[in-house]
Amino acid sequence: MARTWTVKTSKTRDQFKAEHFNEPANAIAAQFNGKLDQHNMPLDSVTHADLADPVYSDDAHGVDTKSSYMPTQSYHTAVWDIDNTAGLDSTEFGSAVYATNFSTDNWNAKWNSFPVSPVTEGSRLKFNAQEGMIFGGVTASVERRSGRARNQYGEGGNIGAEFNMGQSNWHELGVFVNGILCGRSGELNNGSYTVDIPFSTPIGTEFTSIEVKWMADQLVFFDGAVASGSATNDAYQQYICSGLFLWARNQFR
Amino acid sequence: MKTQTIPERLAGGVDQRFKVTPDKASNIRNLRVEDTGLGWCNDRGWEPLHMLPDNGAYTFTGGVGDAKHPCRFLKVWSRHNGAEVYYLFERNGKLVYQYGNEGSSTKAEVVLGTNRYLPSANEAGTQLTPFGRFAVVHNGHDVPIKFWGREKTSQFHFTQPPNAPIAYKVDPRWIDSPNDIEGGATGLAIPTTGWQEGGTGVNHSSNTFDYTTLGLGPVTGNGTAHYRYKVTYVTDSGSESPYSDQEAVTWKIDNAVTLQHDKRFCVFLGEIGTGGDNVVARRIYRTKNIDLNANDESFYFLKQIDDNVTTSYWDMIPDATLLAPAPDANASIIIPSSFKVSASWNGCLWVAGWDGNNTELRYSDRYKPEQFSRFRFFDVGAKAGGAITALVPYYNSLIVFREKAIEVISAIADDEYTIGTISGQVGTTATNTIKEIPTVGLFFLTIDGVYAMTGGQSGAGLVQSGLQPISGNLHKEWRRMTEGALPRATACYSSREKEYWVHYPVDGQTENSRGAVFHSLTGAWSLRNLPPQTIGSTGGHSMWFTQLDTNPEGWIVIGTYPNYPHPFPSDANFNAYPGFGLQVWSAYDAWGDDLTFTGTSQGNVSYNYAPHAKATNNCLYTSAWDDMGDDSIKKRIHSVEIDMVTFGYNDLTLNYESDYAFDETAGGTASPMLVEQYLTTGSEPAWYDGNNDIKNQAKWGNKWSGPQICRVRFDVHTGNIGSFRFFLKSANHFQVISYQIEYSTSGQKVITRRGGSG
Amino acid sequence: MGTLKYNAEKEGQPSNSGDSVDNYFDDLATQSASIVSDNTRTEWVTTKHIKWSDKPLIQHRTSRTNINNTQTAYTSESYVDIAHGGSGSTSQTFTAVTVNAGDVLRYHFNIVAYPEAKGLDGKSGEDYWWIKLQYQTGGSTWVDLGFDTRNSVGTNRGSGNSEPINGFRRYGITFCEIFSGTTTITGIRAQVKLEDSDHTIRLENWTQDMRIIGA
Repeated sequence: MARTWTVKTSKTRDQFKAEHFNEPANAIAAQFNGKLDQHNMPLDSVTHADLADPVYSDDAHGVDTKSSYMPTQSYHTAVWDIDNTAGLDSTEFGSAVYATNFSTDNWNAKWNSFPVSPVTEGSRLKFNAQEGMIFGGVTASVERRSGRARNQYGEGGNIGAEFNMGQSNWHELGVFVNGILCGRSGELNNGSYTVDIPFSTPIGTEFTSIEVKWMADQLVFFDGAVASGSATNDAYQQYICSGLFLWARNQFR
Repeated sequence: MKTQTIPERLAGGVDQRFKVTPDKASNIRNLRVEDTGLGWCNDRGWEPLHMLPDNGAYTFTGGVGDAKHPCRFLKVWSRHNGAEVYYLFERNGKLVYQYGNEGSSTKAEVVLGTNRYLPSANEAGTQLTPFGRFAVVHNGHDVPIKFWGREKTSQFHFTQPPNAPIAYKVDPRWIDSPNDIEGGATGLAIPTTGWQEGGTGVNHSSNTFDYTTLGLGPVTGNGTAHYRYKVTYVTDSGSESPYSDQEAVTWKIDNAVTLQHDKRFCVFLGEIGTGGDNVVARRIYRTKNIDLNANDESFYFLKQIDDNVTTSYWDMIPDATLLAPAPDANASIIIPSSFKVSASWNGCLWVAGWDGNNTELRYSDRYKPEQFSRFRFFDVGAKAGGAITALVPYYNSLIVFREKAIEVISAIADDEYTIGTISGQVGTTATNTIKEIPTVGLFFLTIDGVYAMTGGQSGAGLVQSGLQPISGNLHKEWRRMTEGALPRATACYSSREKEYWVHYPVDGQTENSRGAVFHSLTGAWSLRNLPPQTIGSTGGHSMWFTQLDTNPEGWIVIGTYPNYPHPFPSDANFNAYPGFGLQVWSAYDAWGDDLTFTGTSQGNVSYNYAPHAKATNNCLYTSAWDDMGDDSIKKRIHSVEIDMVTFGYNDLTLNYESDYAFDETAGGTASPMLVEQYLTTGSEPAWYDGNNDIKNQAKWGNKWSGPQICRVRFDVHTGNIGSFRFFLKSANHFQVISYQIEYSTSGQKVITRRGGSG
Repeated sequence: MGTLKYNAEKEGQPSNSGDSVDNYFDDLATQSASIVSDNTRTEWVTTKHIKWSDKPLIQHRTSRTNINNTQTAYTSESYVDIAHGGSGSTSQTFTAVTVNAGDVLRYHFNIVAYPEAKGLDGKSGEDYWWIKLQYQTGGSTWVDLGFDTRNSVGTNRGSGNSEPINGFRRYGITFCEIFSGTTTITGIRAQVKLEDSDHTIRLENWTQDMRIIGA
């Protein structure tokens, strides 16, 4: 406790000497200059106005990223915000979305990263963390579709019944902090969904990289005639992402 | 007749023996050795640690509560180079610390434990041992805890090892269809041979790996798989618990069933034990496949689960990658948590003092304070000396105090220790009085008084030390001590006051009421006590200090027993002397603050408080009986002239006694100032009190005065006497440095009538 | 402001010369009202020193939940407020909260949806529907948060043969806005639109929670 108790007392009719000022003054100054601690400062006194203002920075380690550093925590966001209504009349899923096709693109057996361009924004966050915890989440609009095809018995043969393909497709999103999986959506079914996946992990004072990755089952059915209607045969081979918002809060220890 | 004057005598410390050097005092009460000019000064008192409100009134919100209870534990502990200082104390079984500035909060107190054991008169009570970032707090009855600062506590050590995990049975007969194994053209690009020998795959980082590197079980058919598991806890201090029981799992590959050939399996462990609030991780150990012919049942480290929540684990780690052997089963055992004394020394935590086994001393692994190996112990019971009562690091050794002996443990190599004996006769039960005094030694209180252990370590050898009694001059104090309540005695060393102050119970009482002080600047002793007043429903104002400790800046902090010897009075009679909270020994000009009841309202009890004024005989210097060399030569004492520091116009009175009459006579009054300047304009400036007799009143702009010595003369005028002593006592300030006695004598032995019947 | 200094008074010298003693006490009075880091030890702040009732970390918090289990149909091809339920609309306005650079607005929104099955019969494969979150500044301007989240009614984009995602589903969104400059926040809302008004999205229970964090 930075306190000084009585260092000198005088009674009435006692002499008054320089040390009656010097000793108490020195004792007070010794505590006041650098030793005030948890016992001197009043409880319930730190209000919002006493806390330092946050510091804002953007694009420090990636496009479309924002960071805010506060006294007790820091917030970081990354967003991929494109017009996911554009081109819906002429394309199946929209012209601005990310769509990857298993029969033509390279898919990993398990987790896949989003490509650096254009989807880096929203799928990656990098910042300097301080020891404590990271809480965060990713909100993503992701989709897989079923396809439709028809049997054809041999080349040039009869065209048979139509059937759906990839009805039981699944896909999954995972959030990796410094390479460790900290949150995952579990298997999502066919259709377009918006999922909000939380994640958390303890962290040290280190440069931190958070990345969202996806995974999907991989199914290819070649041949077969084109179905009636406008359903494509290979819709089920595609994985689509139409928007990502990744955020993380680093609570300091 | 010409008078004679004894040579100037520096005022010495207390010596209660018969024949002492004449500079000694027969009693010094409540004075201190002033540390700049020396001399005995009476400018000390005590005041509350936490300031009371300015207006002289104090209200106990919700009732007086624990404030009437005695303080049974007090320790000032700091962390982070003094950035956090905790004043920990226990009243009524509640272990708390308080914040100094309540602000607008309703409660400035943090409670770390409640319903804790209340120590009896022959127990030293709660002990605190700092160890790195935390402190171990234990009392031999409640669960010992680690206090990490702020509000965080966690259990110390373990009460039981983890339960064995459950290893779910592996039955190869369930593979009865190729569809049970993922493989073939469908699936996640796993080759047609699937999860079996020779199969390879590609993982998400595009690395190729061989499936035979995963999984447990025999490689060839017709073999048996037998694995055993056990688990341990890892605590927040990095220590590891003893092992759980073992759990085994067995399966056999049937050579006749093709589908079972070459299949490896994964063992599922469930119900992996979670531990108390001090567990941060669990470790799993496993044997390699124990063939029926093999003798190797060694365990290896398998996996550390870095939490205290997960209860299951899939084990597919093959034998070939198990390399780190598990620690020996004796490396960690459960020790009873009822140890009463502890110390941190040489990186280990040393504990002793179990009720049923009070001569055994155990020490933890280095830097793992909760991990105790079976063989790291000493037993001093082979030698007589009683129970272990304290463990104190001193220089490079650990001193083991026992009731009637002192042993010493030294390190002969980096983590190897040996034990030796310093004394087989002297020991102590006053655990809380053992303190180190810089440049002098390690002091402790025994029934015969204070002993000092001096000396230290030479090289890596045993302690070369001496053990000596150093308070033989205070035998009148020690004879009064209550031996059975000696564990209640308390002591502290203050670097600010340069004092070792030991406070102890006397006269059959079980609470401390008197103290003795060793002043390290001069090596002198003095006493600290207050004469009890009439005993009744009030009064009895001795120094009822139950605990003493010092804060990092050397202020002495005091724990009290309010209203003793009339404890737990009604609220109206509660005057709380010597203070209801922690007190600080300071220059306050009173003995704490007394409470006067003013009223109760809605459960809140209100008091006024005012300083407890010092009485005249509270601060006293009594010279030794002096016969000027020969008590059969009668002499007349004319005056005592005392060199003292000037203080002002507040008078001092000198009393004296002759020839052991025990009948004080007043010897005149004088002010501690230069007598030639008394009531003149040339005197040092003094505080004005409304009387116009002071000619040089202190005024801003006038010159400061400074410390000065003056010679003050008290006229005594005795008859012809053999021995003489004087008393200087006052509640007004004085500082005695030296004195001379003026006397006259004929020098002839006086012929008196003889005593006796012959 | 900061440390306290004084001149030691000397015996034999005039007291309070040049107001030395007076200045010391004046200085103490002044400095003790503006204590800075030079005066304190590190780590003097504990959780008990922070006035939590003042909400020092969270400047504003508002939430609303609708649990009356009533489905409401939305068919608009342009954004409309999600406004149904017994607790009022998702569009909430409140007294202006000033935010500065670095402050964070965090908005959670969960909703149960029931895409209609019959809307897919023979209809075009235009089965998308969107939800977006917005906040209001200055009492009048609505600003988008994050991105327009996109969901579907069916499993197939082909006309005439899509199977619906039947059943109740909960969709969740969390967006944060880190402000780069000073502005005032006055409201929040969630909106919905469909790709084709032939479909119907039935929305049921929802909950939203917004907080503005400043330290």
